[in-house]
Amino acid sequence: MKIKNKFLIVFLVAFAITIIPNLFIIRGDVLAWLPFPFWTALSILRFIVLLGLFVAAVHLWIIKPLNLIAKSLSLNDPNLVKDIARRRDEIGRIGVLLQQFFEQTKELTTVIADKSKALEEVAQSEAQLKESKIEITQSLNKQQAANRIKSQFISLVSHEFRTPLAAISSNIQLLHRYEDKWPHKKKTVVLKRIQEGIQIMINLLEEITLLSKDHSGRLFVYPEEFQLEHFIVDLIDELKKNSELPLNLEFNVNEETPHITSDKELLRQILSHLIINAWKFNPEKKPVYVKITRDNNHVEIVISDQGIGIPQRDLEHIWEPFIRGQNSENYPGSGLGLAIVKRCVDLLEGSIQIRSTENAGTNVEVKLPVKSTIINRDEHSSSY
Amino acid sequence: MNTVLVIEDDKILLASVSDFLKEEGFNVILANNGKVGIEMALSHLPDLILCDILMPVVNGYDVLKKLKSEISASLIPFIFMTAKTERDDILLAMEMGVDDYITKPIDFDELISRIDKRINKTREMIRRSEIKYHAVFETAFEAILVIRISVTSYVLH
Repeated sequence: MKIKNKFLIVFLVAFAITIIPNLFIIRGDVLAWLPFPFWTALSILRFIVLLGLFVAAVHLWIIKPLNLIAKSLSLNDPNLVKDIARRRDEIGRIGVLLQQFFEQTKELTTVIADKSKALEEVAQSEAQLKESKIEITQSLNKQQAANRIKSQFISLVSHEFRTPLAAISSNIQLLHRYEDKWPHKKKTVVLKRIQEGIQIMINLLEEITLLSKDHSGRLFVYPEEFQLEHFIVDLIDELKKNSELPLNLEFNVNEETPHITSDKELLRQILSHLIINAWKFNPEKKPVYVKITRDNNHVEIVISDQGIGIPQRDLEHIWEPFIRGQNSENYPGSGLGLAIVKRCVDLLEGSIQIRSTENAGTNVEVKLPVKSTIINRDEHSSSY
Repeated sequence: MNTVLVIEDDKILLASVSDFLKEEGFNVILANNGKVGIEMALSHLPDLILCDILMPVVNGYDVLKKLKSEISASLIPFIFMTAKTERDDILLAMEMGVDDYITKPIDFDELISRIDKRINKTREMIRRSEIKYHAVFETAFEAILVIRISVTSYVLH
């Protein structure tokens, strides 16, 4: 029932209450005996009853449901308007609308939750994408670096091979041209030069083979006991013999020279590369110093020169293969020497340190255990 | 007899090029680095210079630059012998005014033909300039006085 009709009923009731006593008044003779104040009191009572009726009606039908609606909105609770919605008046319609509103809100909330979840997922996959992009960039950079090293290697090696090849080829051409004309002695000299060129190529190939062996974990330590001082003296003699230039080298042994147990071949690689470098990057051919000292379990071999030195910016990469100091371009070399030295020192479980000042000289300290052990290749496979 | 200066740090190649040029009738002087090479070029003023590029102390580019800046040596034909085969290196050498280059390993037939070509070209250039100045000298109406700072000579026409 509509509120309008409800109020119509209230009005009719009130009308009845008002009119019915008047009917009695019209028939004044019936109640004429009642005193006048009684009528006044009755009018007042009528008014109070009417007012009470109206207030109750307004409270019950309008204010209470409105409060409930307000409460339900503020608490966001659709159950509170369940009863109101069942009413078939205007307030009831508000209740129904409110229920629909709550339902739609609920749906919307679900939709929003779904959307935000989807958004979160998108953000997550974006982050993953970013991560994988970084990974790809990194691996690409690595690959580019590897390619750069490869092309550096090819360019260096082709130059390094070309030089002895040029020497061999030019001497063979000489033999062809003047074979009949030249005496036997002269031809022997030329043959010796060819032999030297071939030896340079063999050395270069051996360096490359050594690194590749190390790279695939096939480089082992074979320790044997020997006298370090004699070993170094022999090595220096051998280097002197192979180099036509006089090798100005001072060799000092501080104390009683130790017997060590180490791998002769690896030690030869370390010392010959370091001594040749000290001599090669030393245009004024100032003396090179080699010194051995010993503490309990280690021997220290120091090789120092007064050559061109290594620029500060190159020092950190100096152990990487095919990397050469920027001031070394005009000196022959493959860029493999120090990489080999470092790997051999690592295999012998030693340590190596380079201190260098450009145009002043270089000081290399190699510290090796007096007793090396056979090394399992899995523990020491190369990192590059 | 033409004199050729060979500047090369690889001693085997230096020796074989020297042998070859001697056999071909040149007077050969040798330098095993760029610094010595410059000194020898300036003191001997050879007819031709053969020079390596990658050498310690002073490299081939620096030798060329130095000699091109010296009046006495700037016209000496200069040939690079190099293991560098990259285009950029050769272009750089050409820009710097090198007359020719030959790549290692060296082919002696190619070397001799390039040397002969350069020496003949220079000789021809000198001959033409001599003819030109001779003509100027002969046809001059006035007297020409040639004065040198150290030695003063008078040539009257």
